[in-house]
Amino acid sequence: MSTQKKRNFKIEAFKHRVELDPKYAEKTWKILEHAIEEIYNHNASGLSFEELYRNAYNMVLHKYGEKLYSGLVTTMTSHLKNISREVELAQGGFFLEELNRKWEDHRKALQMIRDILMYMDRTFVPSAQKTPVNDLGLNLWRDNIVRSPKIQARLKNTLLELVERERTGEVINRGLMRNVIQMLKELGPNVYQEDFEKPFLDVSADFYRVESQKFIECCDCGEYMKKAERRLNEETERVSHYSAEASGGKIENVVEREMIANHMQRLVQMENSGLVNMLVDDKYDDLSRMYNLFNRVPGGLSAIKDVMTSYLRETGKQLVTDPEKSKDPVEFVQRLLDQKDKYDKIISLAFSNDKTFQNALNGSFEYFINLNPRSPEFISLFVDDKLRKGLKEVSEEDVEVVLDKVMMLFRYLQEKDVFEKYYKQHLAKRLLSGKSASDEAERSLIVKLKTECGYQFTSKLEGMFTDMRTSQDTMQGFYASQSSEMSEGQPSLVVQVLTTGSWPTQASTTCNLPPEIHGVCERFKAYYLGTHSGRRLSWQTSMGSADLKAVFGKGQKHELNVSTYQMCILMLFNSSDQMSYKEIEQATAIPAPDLKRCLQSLACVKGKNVLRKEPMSKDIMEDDDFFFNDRFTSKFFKVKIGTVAAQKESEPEKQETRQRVEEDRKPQIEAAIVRIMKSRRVLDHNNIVTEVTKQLQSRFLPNPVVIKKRIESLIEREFLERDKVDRKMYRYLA
Amino acid sequence: KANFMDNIVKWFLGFYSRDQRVLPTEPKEQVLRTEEIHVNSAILASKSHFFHKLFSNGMQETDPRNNVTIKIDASEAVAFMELLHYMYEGKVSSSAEGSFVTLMDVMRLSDKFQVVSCNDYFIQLI
Repeated sequence: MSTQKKRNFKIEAFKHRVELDPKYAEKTWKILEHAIEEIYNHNASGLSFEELYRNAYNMVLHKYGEKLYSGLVTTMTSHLKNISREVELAQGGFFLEELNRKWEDHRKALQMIRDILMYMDRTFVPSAQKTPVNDLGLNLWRDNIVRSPKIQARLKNTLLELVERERTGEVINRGLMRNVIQMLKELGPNVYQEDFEKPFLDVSADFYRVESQKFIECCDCGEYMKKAERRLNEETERVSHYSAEASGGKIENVVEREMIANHMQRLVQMENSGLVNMLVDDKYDDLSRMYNLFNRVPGGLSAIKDVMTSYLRETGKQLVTDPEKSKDPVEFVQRLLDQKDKYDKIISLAFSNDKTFQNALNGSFEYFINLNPRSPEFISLFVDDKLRKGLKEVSEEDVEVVLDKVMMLFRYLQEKDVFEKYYKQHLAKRLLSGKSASDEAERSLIVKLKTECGYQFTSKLEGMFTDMRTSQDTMQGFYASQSSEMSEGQPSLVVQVLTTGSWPTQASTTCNLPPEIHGVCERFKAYYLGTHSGRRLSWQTSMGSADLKAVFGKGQKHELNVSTYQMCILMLFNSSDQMSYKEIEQATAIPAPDLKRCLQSLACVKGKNVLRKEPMSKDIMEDDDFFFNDRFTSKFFKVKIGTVAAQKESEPEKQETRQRVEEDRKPQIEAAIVRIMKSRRVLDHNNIVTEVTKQLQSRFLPNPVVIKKRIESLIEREFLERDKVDRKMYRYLA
Repeated sequence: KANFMDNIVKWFLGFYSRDQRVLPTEPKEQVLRTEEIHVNSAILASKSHFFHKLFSNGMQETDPRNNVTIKIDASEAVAFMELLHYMYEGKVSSSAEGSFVTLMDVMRLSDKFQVVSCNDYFIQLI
């Protein structure tokens, strides 16, 4: 017994069979053909699956697979042609329903036919490279029904008409729509795309082109956005109801293109309702909607960003360059902070904290803050204002918040060294006049500056605090040593010993101190130099303050809080009631501008006029006479007169500060050049300028002309030399 | 539609004889004997595509009230019982294991009824 024998036997039997009963195949096929018809006629339950399967199996086994397959094609095709005619006959609205019903029938029938021909599907179909029964059934349906000339266009139009009707608000049979689209999907991606998706997208584009045109003519920007958003949501929802999710992205693209991308500029710039108006009125909802919609189309966000940026720059420029608005530095800075707060809020609420928008905002601030050369000074003044009296009204956390905001503005400054200069001055005044409201807040800001700019930036500021502490100890030591010699009625002195270099030095011409004071000063000097040999003390009479006890005409006593200069002037009136300007100038030797300012605050401010001036006028003239005002009254016991409060600098002072800043920059630029050249050895001019700018930009923007001058100076001092061939190249001389 | 919950389906085994060289056309068929056995349709359906469809595709046999008849050639009677044995037990009876002819017949039937993943088993036995 072997396989060989058995196989031979079979082949023989086959030959015999063909000879013996040529009608076998025909008869068997008739049975199956009849069954297929019965299946389409809903009579399947009367058929025997076993018999049909056995017959189909035998046909394939006996090499009649081809006959079976072609018979199936013919039968199914003719059946589908009949169905096609029935569908064509369906009237109007019943067309789609009829099509759907027939499709359901066909699908069920196809399932059964596939089952009885299962053996053929598994063996004959792959070896003969035929289409499997199920796919064959779908293809035949596609070619004979969906794409038959009389149905194809009608189907497409019916579907599109339903979509259009739904868009205009009618209720349609979405279930039917869904089934038919499901059918197209089952017939393959090609059918779905050609017969539904593509025409659907085309008519949608037309529809939204017309609609968006209509909307943009009659709606304001916010309203338009709402409509666009609703349409977009509708379409997304529609494709999901139609079970056409595959087209979701595409239909959204169509709406986005027609309703947003094509009208982007016009929307953003729409008069009275566009982006600028939304920004002005803080329309968070509208802005957020605009952001989300524009985010969907290419270039959308940059369209928003560009308009926002140019608007920001424009308004910012107006803000910082308006001379009216820079009158009050505190208000000036407050306006900047308000502006920043406003846009921060917009970006966080409406623009989902988009980094590119934050950058645009920062860039804009950097741009316009530096348009006003006084911004560094004003920011420092603002801090001065806050640290001077701030804590009395606001809590510590609030001060921190304000300081953080100030730091943010500080970051925008290009000339950080200018800020440093002013900050030092203002801080010195605060410390010396004892007006600094909170040590903690002062230190907190210094820490922030240190984090931002490094140790170098703040070391001198910290030195100022150290001096203040040391001075306290020194004073205690002084009074301890003097206790025996001090007597009642003598003026008490508080000295702050300041390290030269840490403090903003002012070329000080010491004024003549009244003899009472002078004595105490000399004793302090002796004490101090006795404990610290080798040091030099010079009196900074332009700073400092004094409390004077004064008795006026009717015997009322007041304590006058004045500056050192003012004290010197007032002390003169202990010995005489009248003095001319010239006499005062001579006696005190106070520099003229300071003297005038002091006299003005003593004689011309209502409620504080402890001196009387003749003639009465607002300004101090060199031939004015001054009298002790014994009719002075005030409801306060303590009277504060023209303190050393920081003020906006006058024009010449500003020039002077500017000059000092420029002067300070020179060594920094030189140091940077030397650092760079030391590591690079040889470098050409342009590269040095670039490198130096890069190194210094955290503090200021060096002027290329100045850099050139510094290079020349370094060449003169033989740090560098020019290359002998290429004059643009510099060489480092170690 | 599949109704596999009927634990025992009553069914007939029809045997018909034919000359091995004669075509299996109706007139020549003759039922030699009928055997009735009980089977679990769920087990058969899970092992064979043919039985799965037989019990579920909506024709006569799907209705659990109807008896199911399978017609096979007389010469395949032993092999058919072995195939059922295999579907229930995962193996053929010990007597069939040694018989090459029977095994070949069972294999042919397993192809006809599309019994799942049985080829390796039979090849290994043969």
